[in-house]
Amino acid sequence: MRDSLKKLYQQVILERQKSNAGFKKRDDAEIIIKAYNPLCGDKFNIYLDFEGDKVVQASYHGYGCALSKASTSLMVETIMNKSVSELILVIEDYLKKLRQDHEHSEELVKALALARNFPGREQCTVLSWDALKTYLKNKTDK
Amino acid sequence: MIDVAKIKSQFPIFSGKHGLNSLIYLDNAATTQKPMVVLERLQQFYSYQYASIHRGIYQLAHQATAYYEAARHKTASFLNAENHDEVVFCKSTTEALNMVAQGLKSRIKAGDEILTTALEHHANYLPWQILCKQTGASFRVAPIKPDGTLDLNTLQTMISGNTKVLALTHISNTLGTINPVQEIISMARQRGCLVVLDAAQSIAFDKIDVQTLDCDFLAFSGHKIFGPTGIGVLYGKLGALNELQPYQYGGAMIVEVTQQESTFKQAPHGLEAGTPPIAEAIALGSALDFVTEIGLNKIKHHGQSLSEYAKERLRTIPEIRLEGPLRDTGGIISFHLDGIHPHDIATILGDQGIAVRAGHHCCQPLMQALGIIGTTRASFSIYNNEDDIDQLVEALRTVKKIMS
Ligand SMILES: Cc1ncc(COP(=O)(O)O)c(C=O)c1O
Repeated sequence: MRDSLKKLYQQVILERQKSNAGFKKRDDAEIIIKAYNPLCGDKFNIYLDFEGDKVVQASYHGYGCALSKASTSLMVETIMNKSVSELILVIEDYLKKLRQDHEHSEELVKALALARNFPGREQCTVLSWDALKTYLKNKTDK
Repeated sequence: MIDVAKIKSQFPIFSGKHGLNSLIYLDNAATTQKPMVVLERLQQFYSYQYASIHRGIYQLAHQATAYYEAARHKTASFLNAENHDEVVFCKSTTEALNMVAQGLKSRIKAGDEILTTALEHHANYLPWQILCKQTGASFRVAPIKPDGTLDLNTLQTMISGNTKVLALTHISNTLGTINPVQEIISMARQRGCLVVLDAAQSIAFDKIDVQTLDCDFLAFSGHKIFGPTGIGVLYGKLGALNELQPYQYGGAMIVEVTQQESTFKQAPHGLEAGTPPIAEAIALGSALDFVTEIGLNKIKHHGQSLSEYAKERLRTIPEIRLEGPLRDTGGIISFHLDGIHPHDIATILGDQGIAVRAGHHCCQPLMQALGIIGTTRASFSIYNNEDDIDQLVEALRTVKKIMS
């Protein structure tokens, strides 16, 4: 087994995906964003409530691999209490950290960033983030 | 018995060059690797024999045409077609199936029914679903039983006097289910509907005899039988082919073109508009020779015994759940491991040099019928042996360890 594989499937990711942090179905949410990867069938609903322009509730539900679950769980945690303009920055920051090794990234982000070394897996770590980004873009364009 | 070591030595990808020596390739349902004879034929044709066909009147073009047409003859005899004009070269199974669906469009109307099955690859599902939307015909899907075999009684009742086409796969690319196509085709014959058989998975697994099968159309891809990509075959009974409206128009297929009216050749040339995949067709001929030389009986026996062995070995891991029929499958098995996502499994196996496929395998309606999102699939070919399966099983234990 390659070292990079061990690093990818390290405890932070596995614990995060098993913890079910932020994993909650909420049909009454103000906004439901769908994140879907037709290639593997991973499909999440991301549930958001805003107060004014601030996220006051965020959770997700659906089916995905260890990487997409861990990254979505991280996302719903990260975006809490952020305003729309802050959200855009948070997403960009995350996507940037995935593309290169950032010493200052938190352990989970560092682990997720390793997905780029595995064929076809980078998209698992950006699936929900991209969906949120697209939603925000449509919202601010209007 | 086939001599796996000898066969494997004819495939450069397993030669150990380019760091691939430990490759365990178990994604043969997606595509097969290429033997030297096919690669050499491509190189030889492009190097010393290359010209366009059916139009040059110089020697090189004449000879290239002869090679291309010889490949058609080879394909016809491989399928035991009555007439070599029943073989149309195209790009792929996908193109062949679309060619039939769109070619029938003017003959399908509201009130007609098109019947397919829950086992189909999207390539034998979408062309019919779309044709129904275009024509107002109703699109019907025969169900499967929980073990992934067709529910034949229901299928029989679904073939009605209005059924114009029955499109079904010979072998499921996801579960390995082998459909009793002979029996199903007789049912369809009694109702007088056209039968379109997707042979993408059976072509390199079992001897196909289109005259005994008595199907109207049959499609397969060269790349799944050790041939190149970019070449596919549509077999059709001559009358059925000639009733298809061409799916594309252009050079090579015409009799005469005037400003307002044109006339077209009969099959197969009338369905091969433009410059065809010449080298690919010729190399497909070499691939078919290669397979014939090994013997499809032996190949089938090998594939089936590897499947049986794999199932037996996989059952030694209690967390494995096999999908599909218990026995008598093609060289394909699909499974789940302890709720672990198939892509996580495939990444960890890939890291250990084992190539498998994960996901819905272009069969989303099948996934819905089974109530699952995806599977991990291992599919076997002539260069695989029991060792490969032992390593797969070992690697799956590693997956379990990492993910638990
Ligand atoms: C059963 C079946 N039908 C159709 C296809 C489509 O083949 P191609 O992509 O070569 O057109 C495949 C290939 O995956 C298949 O397995």
